[in-house]
Parts: sequence; C-alpha cells; structure tokens
Amino acid sequence: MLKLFGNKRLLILLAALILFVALMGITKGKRESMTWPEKFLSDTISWAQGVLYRPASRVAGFVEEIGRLRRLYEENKALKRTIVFYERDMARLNYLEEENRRLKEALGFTERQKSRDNYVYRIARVISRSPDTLNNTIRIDLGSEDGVRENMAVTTSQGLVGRVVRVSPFHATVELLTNMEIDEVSTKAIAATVEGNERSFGVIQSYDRQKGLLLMTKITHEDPIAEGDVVVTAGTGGVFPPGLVIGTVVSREAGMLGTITHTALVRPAADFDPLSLKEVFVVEVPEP
Amino acid sequence: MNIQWRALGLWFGFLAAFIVEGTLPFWFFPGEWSLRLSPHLVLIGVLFAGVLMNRYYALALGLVFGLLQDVHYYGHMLGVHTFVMGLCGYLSGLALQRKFVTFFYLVSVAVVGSLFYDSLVYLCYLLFRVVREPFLWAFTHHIAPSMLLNAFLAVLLYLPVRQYMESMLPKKREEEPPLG
Repeated sequence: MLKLFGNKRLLILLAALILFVALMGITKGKRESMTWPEKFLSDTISWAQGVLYRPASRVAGFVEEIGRLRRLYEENKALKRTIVFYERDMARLNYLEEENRRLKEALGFTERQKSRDNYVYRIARVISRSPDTLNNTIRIDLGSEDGVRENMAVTTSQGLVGRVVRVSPFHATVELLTNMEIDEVSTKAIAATVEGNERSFGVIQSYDRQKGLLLMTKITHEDPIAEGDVVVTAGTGGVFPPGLVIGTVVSREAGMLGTITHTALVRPAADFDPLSLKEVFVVEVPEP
Repeated sequence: MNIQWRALGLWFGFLAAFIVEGTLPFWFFPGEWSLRLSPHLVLIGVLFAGVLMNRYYALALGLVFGLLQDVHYYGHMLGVHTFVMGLCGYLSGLALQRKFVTFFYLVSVAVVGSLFYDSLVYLCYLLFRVVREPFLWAFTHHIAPSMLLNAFLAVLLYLPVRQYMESMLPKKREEEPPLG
C-alpha cells in the first residue's frame, strides 16, 4: 500500500477525503439560493439540454404513438362519452362556485382568504434529469423570471410530483418525491389527509425505493384511514398547498415496536418515469 | 491542428457528453429501465484519459465535471460526484503504468471504474443516511445493469476516444515520473 501511494500521496488523499466529507456534511440539506456563476452555468447547460431533450422526446413519443394508434380509436369513443358527463358537472360546478362566492361575501371573507384556493398552474417542460439513480431531480424550463420560487409544489395531471428546490432565472430544479428521506433535513415532510374525510391525518416523509411506495406515518390508531383511500395534501405544513392528490393507500399497519401511531403505505398517483414526466405543473398560490 | 485546440475540443467533448447524459438516455430505454441504466459517458472519458494521457489530467477532468454534476442536479448534497469522479480518474492513471494499452485492458478499466463509481456514490449516500436500502439491492437494481451498459459504451467509444487522446500527446510518449 505504501509503495503504491507514497507517503505524501496518502496524506493528500486523506486530506481530500476529509475535505470532501466535510463539504458533503455541510451542504447536505442546506439550500441557499444560487450564486450568479451557478445561475449562469445552470441556465446555459439547461438551455443546451432543452434543445436536445425536446426533439428527442418528440421522436420517442412518435414511435410510441404509432403503436397506440388502434387503441386511440377506442379511447376516443370512451372519452366522447365522458365529456357529456363533464359538461353536466361543469354546469353544476358553475352554479356551486357562484353560490360559494356569494356565501363567502355574505360571511365577510377577506380578499386573502378568497384567493387562497385559486392556484395558478404554470405548465413547464422537463428539460433534463439527473443521471444519478439515487438522486432524483429534474430541471424544468421555468425560472425566477417566470415567478417560480423555491418550495413551490410541482404536480402532473395525475398527482403531486415534488417540490422546487433551486431556481435560476430561466430554469428550476425540482426534487421528486422519490428523493424523500426521513433523516434528511432538506426533506420537507408533507402533511397529508384523506379526500372526503379531512379529519384523517398523517405525515409523509420518506420513500421506499425497494417497494416504490411512500411511507405515511403518525396516524392515530382511531383514524379511519384504510386501503384504497385517496391521500391528498392537508396544507397544514405550510409548504404544500391543500388538496393536491398524492396517491392511494395500499396498506395500513401498526407502527414499529414501541410507537403508538400507525403507518400506511401510499402508492404515488404520479408516474416518475421519463415518458410520463414530460410536462409538469408548478403550483403557484396567489399572494394577496 | 495544434495541441491547444485539441485540448479545448476535448473539454467541449466532455461538456457535450455531460449534456447528453442528462437528456437522451431516457428515451432509449423503456419505462423503469431508463431510471436504472445510467450510461456514464463522462466517467468513461475520465477513465480513458487517466489511462491514455495522465492521471493529473484525468483528476482535473473528474473534479470539474463531477462538480458540474453536483451543482447542476443538486439534490441531496454537494461533493459526492466531485470526489468520486476525481478519485476514479486519479486511480485509473495510477493503477496502470504500462506502455502498451490493449483494447481489452481499456474496456475492463471502464467496467471496473463504473462498478467502483456507482458503489462509492452509494456508500457516500449511505454514510449520510440518504439511502437506507441494502447494498445488494442497489447492486442488482442499478449498479450491475449500468456496469454492463457501460462496458458496451466503452467498446463503442474505444476507437474514437483513443485516437483523439493519443493525438493530443507529443509524438513520442514520455515516461511518467517515477512514483514516490
């Protein structure tokens, strides 16, 4: 060993090791806004990646679509049928919304309270993806110039995908739910509840890579949450706005030994593979 | 073409490889496999540079492009890829001090390098408790499949990269200074 690494070499290697371990420790979970060289570099590279990613995704999508052509016909028929139902619901929704507005006015809601649920969904294209399997982040083509801020929730039409972690002027980095880890400081736990039963409560703060499921903890034992329930964000955590679909409960069991709370496994509603994650929505909660 | 221009071309080639790594591979493999197979184009380049040129050049390339990956895809923490890729470049230059580099040798360096790189990244994450899955899972889930893919890529890249890198060296390859 000493022959392979001279004494001086070994010393330098050790010093480098210490330096890097310290760097990892310091930067872990710490999110300062980007410095200008970082912004410049990230934007330039993202621009180049965007040029490459879009045509490539189109080609890949086209090949896939040819295979789907026959199924599309069937799908089209079914969709036409559902659209009738939608129109009926729409009329009902308009009526209810009008009534809701009238009642809020009657009760003297403030402007801030009224605008609380009118989220703006900004569509963003995915530009690149981290090649590291254990570190799942994507870059999207909206940045601080478009009003994107750190910690904004990111969804697809299916459900919650992740959270904006870093923003440069024209692009932003999104950390996916699959990156959540209970011990990590940077993981913002998601306060979750059940659609249709807002009294249920649990906290989602880690993702099991082996099973591909999210782990929901801190459920009280009298909570009625059960298999098949749709889990949505509760909005009490302060980071994610309420009402975004996270997934469905797969199983519920008593927590680990020594804890009085229950845990549930949740299958994420959103697909994280690249073909289904071409476009995402950044959820912007309007500020008064 | 003189050597300075060729060196500039090399760095831009690495930058192009870095850009491609985060975009195109995801369209080649279907569904879940695209997240499990990661082609380490930059890493293969760094390893080749270590063997064909010298270890200091490989170290510099590894540190710069590792840092770029860390910053560009900042997820858990900074420094993991910088450290691991720099180390890979340096070790690939150190492990082999031979005059005649064969095709087989270079490809096996890429294979071992890929295995070493992915395992070390996993270990760094394990150390900071960012992953909790056992190593055997990580190995069968993405480390081994990526290794096979990278062996294939190394075979493809062998000829062009080798020709380019050797054209950057002075005509007669100089003896590297003795160790110690």
